[in-house]
Amino acid sequence: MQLDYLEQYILQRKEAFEEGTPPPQLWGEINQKLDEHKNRRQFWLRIGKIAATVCILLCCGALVGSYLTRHRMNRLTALEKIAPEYAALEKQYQQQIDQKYELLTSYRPGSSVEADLAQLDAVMEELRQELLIAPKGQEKRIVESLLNNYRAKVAILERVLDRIDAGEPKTVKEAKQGDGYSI
Amino acid sequence: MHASKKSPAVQQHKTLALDYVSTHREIVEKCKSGNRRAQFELYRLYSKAMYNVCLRMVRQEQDAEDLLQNAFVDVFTKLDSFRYQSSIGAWIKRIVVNNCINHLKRNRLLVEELNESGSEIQAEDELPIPGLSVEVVKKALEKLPDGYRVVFSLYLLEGYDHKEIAEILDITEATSKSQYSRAKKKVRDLIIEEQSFKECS
Repeated sequence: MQLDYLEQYILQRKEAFEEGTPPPQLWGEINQKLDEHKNRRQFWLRIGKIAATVCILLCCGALVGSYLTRHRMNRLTALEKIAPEYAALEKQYQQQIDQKYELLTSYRPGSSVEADLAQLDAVMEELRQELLIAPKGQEKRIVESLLNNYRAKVAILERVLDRIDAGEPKTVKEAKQGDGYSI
Repeated sequence: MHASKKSPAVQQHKTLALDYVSTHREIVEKCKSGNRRAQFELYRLYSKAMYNVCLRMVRQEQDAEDLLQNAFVDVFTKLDSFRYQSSIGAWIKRIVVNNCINHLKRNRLLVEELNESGSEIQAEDELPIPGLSVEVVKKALEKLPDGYRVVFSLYLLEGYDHKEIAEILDITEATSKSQYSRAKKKVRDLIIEEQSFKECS
């Protein structure tokens, strides 16, 4: 290509136009900025990791929750299949128990009644298993026992709550004996 | 006329074949993994040339230092996107140039001048300018309006062609050519003015 006189003159002396030198401290400032950038990036990475962990935990919680709900519904459905007339009753008792238990824990967190209820639950689970494999004619007796247990649970909780309302402390055992229910 | 031809600096550059796509590949790879020593090495290799690019574009030393600093921070934080499609030097220079252009645009130094379009001015004289010196040329370049100076530097000294300049400055190729032509004329005028001032004094 044709370069005119001025262009040729400048290109031939290009080095003369490259005389500037950056100050020595400039690298230090760049270094500092790179550190800041790195720290900022690490901070956001950490936040991202925390957010991901929280998401995973929430998903796990939701899965476990949905599994437990389905399990409980299955149990109710199983009972409904064997003894449909009692299924509604069981549901009703369970609602009462849930309400009263919630009330009790709001009065006395970590109450000793929990252990007794757990014992009742274990007995009821055994009855349920028995119910599934029971020969014909035996189901009615087992379902009656199950419902008795529900009643016992409700009564225990009511008794304890009454005592709390009356301001008179009484042990759970006393409450059970007073009601005359047995496991 | 230089219309569709490569910039003289590009041609010179290609003839000398100084800058290859794989130049400093090892250093670049270390820089990508965050090796600060390698980053300093890359800075050491290119900082002087890039500082002069900044100086030619913005004139003020303080601005040139700030721009060089920001440009190198950009270089190291964006290096992961460098895929050896050009040489590392060309890639760094493009970041530096873009930083300078953004600085000039932010300060409204470039817009109006670059929008001035018009036909290309024919190089009226190819004749030597008597008593020409580097100092006089430098002074003339310093006096050039920003728009002219940027196009003049990008084409003649940084080695970009008009297509690339159009892309960098977001103008048409024709505007780039006419601006360069006008800039060259202005440089000649300023040189002559400077020389007559010198003679008088």
